[in-house]
Amino acid sequence: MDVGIDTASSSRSPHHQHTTTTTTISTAAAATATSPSPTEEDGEDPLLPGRSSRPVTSGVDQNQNQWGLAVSASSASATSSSESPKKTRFAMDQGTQGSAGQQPSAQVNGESPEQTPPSDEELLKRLEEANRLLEADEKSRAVLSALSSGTTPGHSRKGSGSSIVSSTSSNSFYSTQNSAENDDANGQSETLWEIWGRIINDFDTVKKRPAFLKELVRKGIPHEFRGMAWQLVLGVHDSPWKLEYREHMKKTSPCEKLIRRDIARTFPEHDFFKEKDGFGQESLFNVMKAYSLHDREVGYCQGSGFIVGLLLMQMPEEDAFAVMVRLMQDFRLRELFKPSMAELGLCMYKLECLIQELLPTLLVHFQTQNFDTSMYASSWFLTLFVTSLPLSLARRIMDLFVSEGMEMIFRVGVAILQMCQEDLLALDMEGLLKYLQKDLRSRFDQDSDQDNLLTTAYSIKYNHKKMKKLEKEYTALKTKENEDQIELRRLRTENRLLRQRIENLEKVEARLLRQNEVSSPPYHRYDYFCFRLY
Amino acid sequence: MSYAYLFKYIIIGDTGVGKSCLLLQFTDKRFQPVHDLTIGVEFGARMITIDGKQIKLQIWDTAGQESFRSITRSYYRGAAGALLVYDITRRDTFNHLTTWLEDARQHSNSNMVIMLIGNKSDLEARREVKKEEGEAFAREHGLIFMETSAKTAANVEEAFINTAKEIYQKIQDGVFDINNEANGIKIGPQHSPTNQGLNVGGSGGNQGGNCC
Repeated sequence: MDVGIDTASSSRSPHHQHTTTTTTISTAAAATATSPSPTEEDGEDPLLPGRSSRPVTSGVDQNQNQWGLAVSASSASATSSSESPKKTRFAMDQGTQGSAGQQPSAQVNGESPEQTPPSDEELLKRLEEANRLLEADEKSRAVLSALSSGTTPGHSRKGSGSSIVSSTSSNSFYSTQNSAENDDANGQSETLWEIWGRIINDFDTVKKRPAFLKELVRKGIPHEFRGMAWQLVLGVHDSPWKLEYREHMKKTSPCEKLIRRDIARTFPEHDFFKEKDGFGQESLFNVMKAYSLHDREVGYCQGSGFIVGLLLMQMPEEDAFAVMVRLMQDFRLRELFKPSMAELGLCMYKLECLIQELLPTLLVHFQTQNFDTSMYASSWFLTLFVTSLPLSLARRIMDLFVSEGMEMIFRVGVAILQMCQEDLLALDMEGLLKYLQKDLRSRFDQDSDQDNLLTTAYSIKYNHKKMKKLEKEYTALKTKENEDQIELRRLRTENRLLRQRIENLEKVEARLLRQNEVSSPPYHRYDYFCFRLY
Repeated sequence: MSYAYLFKYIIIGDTGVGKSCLLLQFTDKRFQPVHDLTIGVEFGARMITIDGKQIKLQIWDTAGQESFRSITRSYYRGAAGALLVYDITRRDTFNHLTTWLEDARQHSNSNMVIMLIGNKSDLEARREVKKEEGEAFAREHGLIFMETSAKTAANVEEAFINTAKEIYQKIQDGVFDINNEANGIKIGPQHSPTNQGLNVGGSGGNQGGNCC
């Protein structure tokens, strides 16, 4: 399937189009992952689990492959996208380099025997065409060289223009954060690394042990493995949705204008997304557009962009698309984002019931302050905490979400309130709003607090049966409310009609009265008046 | 912080018309060209002075997309004022005003003061809705009207303050029942109904705006 092609082209796509050295993807990624540079035969196709039996290095390979894939897949998608010419050039141009003889060792990585890439002639033709296009576009050249320099350690970051700076920094979404998280976790997650390295190469075996997998995910997925791990856990690593994505790229969505308007407002301060019409913004636009075409009923709903944004920080567009489709379809996100947002009301109701049960004092305080659940928790559900908590923590919550679903959002929500209860009890409504809408990021900035929060979340009593019951209750409540509304509307209409009748009758009466005045002597009028009184 | 009255506002209108930017300009006196997307509701507050009285404005900023209406609706209740915003450079945002107005009228108390705002008046070259059209719509529906620019701050103070003046006038006229918080008006903690107006003092608010 297409994966093979991706990986193959990915091996060609890395970065040295504008580098002075012949640095390969392997070394680039190895340096990123602070791991030894692999030899040629280290390469394994990450999507063909079970082919590797070397635990530690295979993990590293995986990471490299994933990186390679990351670059390639988005370029592959761009290949089919008439709307992403820059990326098309990127992929193709890079590829030319590869086929022109400076073949990085990683090429071997991608070429698994059973997955043959397009014929050399065909590729070459496409690449040459792309090269020609690239030469016509100096701007994308600059961006490309920036990308290369950013991911190639030791390469001098020469060049000019702000695009270099921003693109370089945007690269951190794949690399810098990794090493940061890596460093601090080095001691304890050495073994986690090994384990995940093995798991990713042999996921089918682990899949049969869901309890083990769940526990393992709760310990946290090493950052380098996240992109692949999320896909594997969700079972979309070889999903046909990735092919579908390419089809969507050729189409136009009715939601495009709407999506476009929100792109710059999604992660406006994040390096990857802040550059106007930059790579990050374009990727985000592409995935959102593809989703709106995939699911016409939901189309585009504000909030979902933050989730896709988080995914794009870990993986290329078509992978992010496949993950998003799965999350929407099978994790109730779709229900949340449907036009009526009925599910959000249910989430609020359930969360409130949980708070009432577990933190009753806090709920009373909220109620006295007229502090409604929707004031702080809407975004918790709609963006899975991405807009409320530090990104490092949001990523960990995403680990848990793909593994355990919406339950985790409730658990984390209650855990936040539990940990902050003392602070919250001292605040009035405005203070509460500021605390829960703005200050949570700094409150959970530290690793230790993040660990505490998740440990607390795991310990929250979450009764599935009760939650099911609450769902039924809520549905009944809503049905009743609807019926009441209908009844109210009926009564209002009836009332209006009666009032109209009264008015009409009064008019008739007034007219009769006037006629009486004209035709009768005064005493008659007096009689009439008495009669009315009577 | 001491105030004579607290007025609750809600800001409504299509997505991208500049609701959050108007609020930020009013509360923080700054313009952020790329504002974070509003998911659900956000909040801002500021003190102003009307007729020598400190009045606190508590402002709810809502998400503009249609899907969020079910959340937004619950904020109409308990609002004394609404800023209904459209973008003068986008005709469609003007065309949707009727729907917004219907929604607002249906879910709010009948005395709620509504200020119609044509925002982005700095973008004259891209104007699609004439000022006269805004005025006519406001006249027809009994709204107050202003054109503002959250970017240059033109008329932003005035929009918020004039709405407050209108609410204040309604209180003076006895239209609003100030003892019913559902009307979006609260009397300050130290201002009992018997001595209100006498006990004005304390700047309190994070921003001490002045009446225009």
